[in-house]
Amino acid sequence: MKPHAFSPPSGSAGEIPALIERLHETERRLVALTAGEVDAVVDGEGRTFLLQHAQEQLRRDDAGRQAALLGTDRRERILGTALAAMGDFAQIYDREGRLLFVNRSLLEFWGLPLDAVVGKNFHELGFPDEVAAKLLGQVRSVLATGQSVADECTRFSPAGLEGCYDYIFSAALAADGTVDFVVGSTRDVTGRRRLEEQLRQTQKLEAIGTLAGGIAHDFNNILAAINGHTELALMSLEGNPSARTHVAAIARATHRATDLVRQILTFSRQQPLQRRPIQLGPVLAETLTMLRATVPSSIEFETLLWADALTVLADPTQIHQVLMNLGTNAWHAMKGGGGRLKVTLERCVVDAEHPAAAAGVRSGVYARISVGDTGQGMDPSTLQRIFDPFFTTKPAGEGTGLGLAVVRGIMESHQGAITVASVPGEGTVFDLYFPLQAESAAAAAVEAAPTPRGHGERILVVDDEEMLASLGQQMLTQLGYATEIATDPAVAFDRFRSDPQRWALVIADQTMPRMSGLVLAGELLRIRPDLPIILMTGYSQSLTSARIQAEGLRQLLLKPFSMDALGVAVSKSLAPPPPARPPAHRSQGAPSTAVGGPAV
Amino acid sequence: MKRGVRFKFRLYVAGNAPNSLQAVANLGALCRTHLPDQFEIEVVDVLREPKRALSDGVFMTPMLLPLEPLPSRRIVGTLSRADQILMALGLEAVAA
Repeated sequence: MKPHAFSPPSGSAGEIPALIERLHETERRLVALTAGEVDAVVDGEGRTFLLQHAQEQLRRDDAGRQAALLGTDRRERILGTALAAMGDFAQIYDREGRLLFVNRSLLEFWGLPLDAVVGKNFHELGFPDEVAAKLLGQVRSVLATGQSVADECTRFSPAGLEGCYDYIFSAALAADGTVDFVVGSTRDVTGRRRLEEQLRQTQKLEAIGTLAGGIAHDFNNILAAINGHTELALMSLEGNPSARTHVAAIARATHRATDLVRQILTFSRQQPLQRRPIQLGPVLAETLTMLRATVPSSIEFETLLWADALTVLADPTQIHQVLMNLGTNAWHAMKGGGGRLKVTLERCVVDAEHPAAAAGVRSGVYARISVGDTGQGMDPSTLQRIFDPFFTTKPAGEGTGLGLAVVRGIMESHQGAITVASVPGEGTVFDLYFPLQAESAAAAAVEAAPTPRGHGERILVVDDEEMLASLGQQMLTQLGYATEIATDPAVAFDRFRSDPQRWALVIADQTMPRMSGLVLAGELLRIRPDLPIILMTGYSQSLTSARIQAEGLRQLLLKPFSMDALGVAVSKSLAPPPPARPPAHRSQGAPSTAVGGPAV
Repeated sequence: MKRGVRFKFRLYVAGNAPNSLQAVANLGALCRTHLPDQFEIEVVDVLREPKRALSDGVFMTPMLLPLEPLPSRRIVGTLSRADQILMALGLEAVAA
């Protein structure tokens, strides 16, 4: 120890008492020091030196100081408050595994007062036997061995919904080293687990979407070839009814496959909506036929369809999907026994006098489809969540929890509404409301119009896939057009530039190596601004009819397309656009009058 | 003891070293018993504020500096003997 910088005594007589006092003080300090009452010394530079015993103490728990500063009762109050305030469920068990204490969070979770809990074990609290046996066994194991147990369970209450709970039981030791009691801490991780599960589902979905987008183009090209050749074969088989039957079956199967691809793409939101006026009756009947083939015969179908045509603006593929999802759910709700699936279609007016069965439907005139089952029904808490994405009552791995979320999304995109009513043990009814279109007759006429035909107009088809290019050529030939094909956009461009007036129309595929259809179209329009161009695409996230028209193109043709769709698109494109074109540009191949069928 | 008089102390300690903790506890108990509602204690940790120790001439801990009503004799140690402290503060007559 360095001596402290005392000022040296000056020797003046008046300072003697002060000097004596200093001597005493120094003596007392020495006594304190030798008695071990000193912790640290500070030298003249402010450096602190801890004495040995103080160093040892400082290495121990830093909280010791705080604890020593607190009175015993205050410490208990603070610990009690901390236990009560913490969100986790705290428990203390005696040597028999009975509860001695439960904190406020857990009492609230159980909905029980402390009196009803203290002195009881899990069995006596009314926990399900299996759960109680497991938990009590673990508390007893801690009592016997002193080793902590950490585990998780799906239930930590006498009743109520299952969830996910992480817990740990630890031993509190008595002075003699035996286990005095057991402290339990339980955390409700239900919400976190659900989020983790949702994240996994979302990632899975993204993967499906990416995959679907990736294969859709190739797959659609294959389907286009099958579809086109089937239609051509049907035409050349006029005199062979037996062969026609088989080929017609191929055509139907191809349409189903086309729909399927479109559904997957809709699901991954990579397919533009194709809404047009349709009649709900035929779509509904067709879907029910398909559903009947899937659902076992123990389930009875009851169908009531409105006699008059009900026309709505909708994408038939999506209506199909909505009904299949609801139908499949209804079937699952009736599993394990027979039942009745009741589907009705009717016209319905919603206004102040005739409100809908449930809130959320605005006033208006609707076509209403009801899908009802006689299944197990749903309780109100389940009912509240059925439209949530990833909510499912099916075991993990069986349901995606997306069916009804997709249904609701589709209904919203159709400016419609969906309501649900359910009684546990009796069944569930979904009501779908589609705003009714006025022009039923006009729509029906459009459906029935014959395919427009050409009169020898010359068309250039550009597609890097030779099979599809030649299919397009054959279809167009059948429709009465003169067609040339090019499988390389650069070659197509050169041929066009050498004689721009030779063609009445260019049909280009969007997805081609080196030059996309849009780029090629832009180049062609620079040479001849009035050239009608149709762009074909298998699927598209960014291409819409509006975008196409903004680029100066006439039509967007989604692959795979039927001969009828091709005929309509070509005929529409060849018709003069609303602002009149200068007649000077009319050439041999672009007669503005020679369009077969009504331009729609 | 004189009413209305405030007693102000500064106690130098070394972290949570045992003698320091004891001194804090003893001083608190003594004040609550003999000077209720009349005292103010500032605890200074030399491990955190060595410069203050230097300026107060404190070279070992625990050390008690009575500051008010009048600066008086400094006391080193755990402050376990209340009578000695009261005497040092000039309060022995009142305490008796």
